[in-house]
Amino acid sequence: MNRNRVVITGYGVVSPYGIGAEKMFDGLYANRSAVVNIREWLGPRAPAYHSLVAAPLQENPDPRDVPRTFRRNMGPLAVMAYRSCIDAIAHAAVSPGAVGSPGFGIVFSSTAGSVEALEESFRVYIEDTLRVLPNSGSFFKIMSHTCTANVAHALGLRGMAYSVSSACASSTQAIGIATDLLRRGAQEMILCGGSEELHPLVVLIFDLLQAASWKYNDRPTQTPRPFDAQRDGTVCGAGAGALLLETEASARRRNAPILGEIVGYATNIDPTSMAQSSQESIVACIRAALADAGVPPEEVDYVNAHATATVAGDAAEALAIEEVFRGRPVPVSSLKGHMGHALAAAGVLELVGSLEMMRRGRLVPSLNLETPCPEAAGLNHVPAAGLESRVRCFVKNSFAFGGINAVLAVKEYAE
Amino acid sequence: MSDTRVNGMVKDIFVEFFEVKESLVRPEATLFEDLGLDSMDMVDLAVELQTRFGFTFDRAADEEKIRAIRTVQNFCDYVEEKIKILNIKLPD
Repeated sequence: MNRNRVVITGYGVVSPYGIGAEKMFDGLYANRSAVVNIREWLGPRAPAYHSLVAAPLQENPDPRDVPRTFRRNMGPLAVMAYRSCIDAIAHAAVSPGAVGSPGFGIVFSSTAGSVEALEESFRVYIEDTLRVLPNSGSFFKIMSHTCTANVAHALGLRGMAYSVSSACASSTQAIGIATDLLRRGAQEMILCGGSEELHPLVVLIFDLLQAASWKYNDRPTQTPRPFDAQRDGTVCGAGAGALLLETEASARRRNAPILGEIVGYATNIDPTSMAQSSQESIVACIRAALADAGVPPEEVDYVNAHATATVAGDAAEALAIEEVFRGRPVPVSSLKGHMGHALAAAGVLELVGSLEMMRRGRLVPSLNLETPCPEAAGLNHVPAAGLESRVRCFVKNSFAFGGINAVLAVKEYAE
Repeated sequence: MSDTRVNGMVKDIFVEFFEVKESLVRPEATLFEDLGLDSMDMVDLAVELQTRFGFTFDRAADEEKIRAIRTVQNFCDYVEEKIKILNIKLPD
């Protein structure tokens, strides 16, 4: 079947390092941890937590940058999504006319609606029986498609609008779905990505499931530790990322600089565990993405791992990567040690980080990886000092609670 | 507008909550056309009245009255009437 080639022409980033992709690249290449102790932030709730570490935003997008009639429907989640999207559009230099055309769509994602707005709504509902919700925009902040709908309204979009919600696989799936829509010609351009706001409740959920790091509370920059023998769980983060994807024909027609090509996408679900994807399901997903790309394992130059630093998750992923790339030591690293785990936004932020690695020809290591765990001993980990390496094709893994796996393959663009 | 305290509090709602320029909040200004409010803002206006004045609403009676409000003056009159009906004491 003939299908359109799908290229990346812009991105926008809100990461724990700040607003803008350059701040994220600076943090990654300096091997600077964005993880901090959150005891003060949690306040009186802190004693309920084992995990007292997180990677919050060091710089928040100013809600006042959004016109009031749109802002009233946005929680922090949608404000971040909006900021990443306008930056992606500016980066790709798309004209306002194109943005408002029927061929311009959006596929955005988040784990849930704004947890901050949800908390406020329930607080009002429970404490004040004479009021129902805090204001008219409450539902529009809480609804699970809050990012997609709010960004679309604020930008005046008229094309297809989908919302994805699959926890930590969300933005990788959003990019994959956008790719599929562009391939079949349903749209010419699509904004896609994900957003995640950090809320104490999110940290508490990971804590409850014993998936959050707690042994490094007094040394926060030393955790999370992807693939390390001393890892003890992940660290929740925040942020938003957006890609501007378009068909190759669209990009060439407007002479847009092309930053990379999405060549493969696959997703599957592992029904055997809600909390943990199995090695077998991960292997199947990576192989399916490579098959979709028409790329044999030996042509992959880098794997950007999901590796959140949970004990079971990293082990399964390490064994899966080794199984797929057996015979060829493809360099592997995870960016969770730098930025924590931004859940729904993690996939897109790490994909943008990997795009920069491809552009620079220099790979970023897994921060805090000192001694690989036995399951990851067979991988070719990017050395702590980084690695000069030409990357023509990389693979981006994302796995989520619920057993959802999603994998993208990205190539350097060549006509 | 008769009660200056009510007028001041009403003006505060438009300026602080709805970010309307203070100079636009004149008695004859229409809420939708001149101040740029919309139907969702009318919901929030009711919420602000609850929060700032302690209003309670009788849905049957109040919905019709709120729907009939066109201008800032209409709105002030409605607020004053409610304050009397509910016997609300405003801070001096």
